Amino acid sequence: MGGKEPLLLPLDADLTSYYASFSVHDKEFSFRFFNLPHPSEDGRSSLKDVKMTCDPENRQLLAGFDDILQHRLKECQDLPSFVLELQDILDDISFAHVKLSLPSPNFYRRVIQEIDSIGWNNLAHVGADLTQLKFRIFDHAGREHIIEVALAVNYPKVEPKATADMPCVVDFGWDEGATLKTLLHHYEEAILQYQDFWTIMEDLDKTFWIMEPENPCRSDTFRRIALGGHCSLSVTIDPLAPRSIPECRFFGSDATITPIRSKLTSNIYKWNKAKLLTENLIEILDIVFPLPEVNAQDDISVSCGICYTFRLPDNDPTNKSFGKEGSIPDRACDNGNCGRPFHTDCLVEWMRTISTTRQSFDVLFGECPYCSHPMAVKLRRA
Amino acid sequence: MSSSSPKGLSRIAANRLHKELKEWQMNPPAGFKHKVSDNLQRWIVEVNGAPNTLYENETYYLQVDFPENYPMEAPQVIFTHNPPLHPHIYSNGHICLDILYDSWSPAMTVSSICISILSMLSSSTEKARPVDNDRYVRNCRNGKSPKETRWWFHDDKV
Repeated sequence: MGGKEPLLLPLDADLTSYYASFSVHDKEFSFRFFNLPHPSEDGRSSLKDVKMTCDPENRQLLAGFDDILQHRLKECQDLPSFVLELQDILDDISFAHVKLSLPSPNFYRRVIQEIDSIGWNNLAHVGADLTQLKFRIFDHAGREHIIEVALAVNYPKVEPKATADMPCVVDFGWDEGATLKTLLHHYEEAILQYQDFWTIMEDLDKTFWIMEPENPCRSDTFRRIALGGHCSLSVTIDPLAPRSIPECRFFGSDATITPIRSKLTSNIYKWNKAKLLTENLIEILDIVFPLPEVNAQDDISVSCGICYTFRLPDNDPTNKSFGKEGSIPDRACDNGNCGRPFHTDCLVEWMRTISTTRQSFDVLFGECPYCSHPMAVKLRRA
Repeated sequence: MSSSSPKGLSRIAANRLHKELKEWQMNPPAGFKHKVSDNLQRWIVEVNGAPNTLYENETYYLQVDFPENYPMEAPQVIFTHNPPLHPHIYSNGHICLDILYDSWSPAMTVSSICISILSMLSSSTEKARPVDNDRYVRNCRNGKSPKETRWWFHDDKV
């Protein structure tokens, strides 16, 4: 540890506040302690109510260790033993950080210069210490793209981390002469590549009733399109070839889906890459797509017939996905006149509740709760 | 689960009941009134006998208690206070109606149960207790839930 013996000075006459100073790795630390207990008769006392203060830099260093400090305070019976613990903790932290304090003045000079050359009007947001930057790039269609850049303290030696809402990761090859400007240039080029993809997707979102994703991002390459009658079509689009035939998956009762699927296979030769995806789908599937409705998710035709929700709320607070967006109805009754959608989880729970359900390996055989049409549900592997 | 040890509603149950209540408020079944309370797990529903039936101008109260895992399990539905005189309704308020027990399905709702009960009342031709009323009520003395009874639904006509 190599720290010299800690110095403890009382700050008031009744010995309830102290000043402590010590060094760890040649760095001076000083803390103030308040609200110390009066020594009790048996000599045992707890430090659990003690308050400590220090300068902002040390405070930052100790950020995230509050629980440990609180715990140590509870355990220690007097101030000197706590200060020794504190020395230990700081020793560990500064060892792990290897003097990861503040960036050098050159860092700021360089970052400011780089932003100058990019133009401050292209900067959408900047963190107080210049290590978090957000740049905006406008494409030809006037879409605003935000590029988030995180700079390491030893920038430009270490390459910056950049993220953007795009369907791919942009490789900006960080080398000797690279600057934020060249980095943004790589992004501009990448954005240019996806112009057609975004045009196709925006047209899709505008034309059809999109069930998933709820709030599509520019990076999302799939859409679930409502077909009406409890059915939907999920399409996955290749962002680099958005006008070619997408990957299609149908959801819903066989009775409704089969004719649509056979139209897709028999008319697929009509796919015209010069047209938009929506135009192709309308022509090839030859059906009337339902229009988005207000509060569509409360609509009886899309929500689960058992729990009445669209997104299944996660019931188990210990689960990792608790509170996140739950699954959407992924099973439907195969009876063409019924076709009620259900969450697989709800169906399984219901079938397990009633005694007439039969199980064979991992498939449950039961009935639709609405029309009693036979239904089979495959159990998900845990 | 018996009504003597009520557990809180699961999230799925609470969610579904909120929606049922909302739908009820917008579209209440004819002849029924939900008595407003902040207890989602127990609904008190006022029933008014349908016109031109034996129960015309009579008012009864249903108590609907929801299990934690509703709608996987049926709610417990009983008449409180003075249960109507009916060949399928016992003097302790228990109702002999298949959809409340073996034939329950999550496709049903409080509203559909209420309609079934009213239709059961409306089709009655005599005001009388079930023949086994005394024996049944004696067996249920300790606040037994009707869901613990093994019912046999022998009569579909009334």
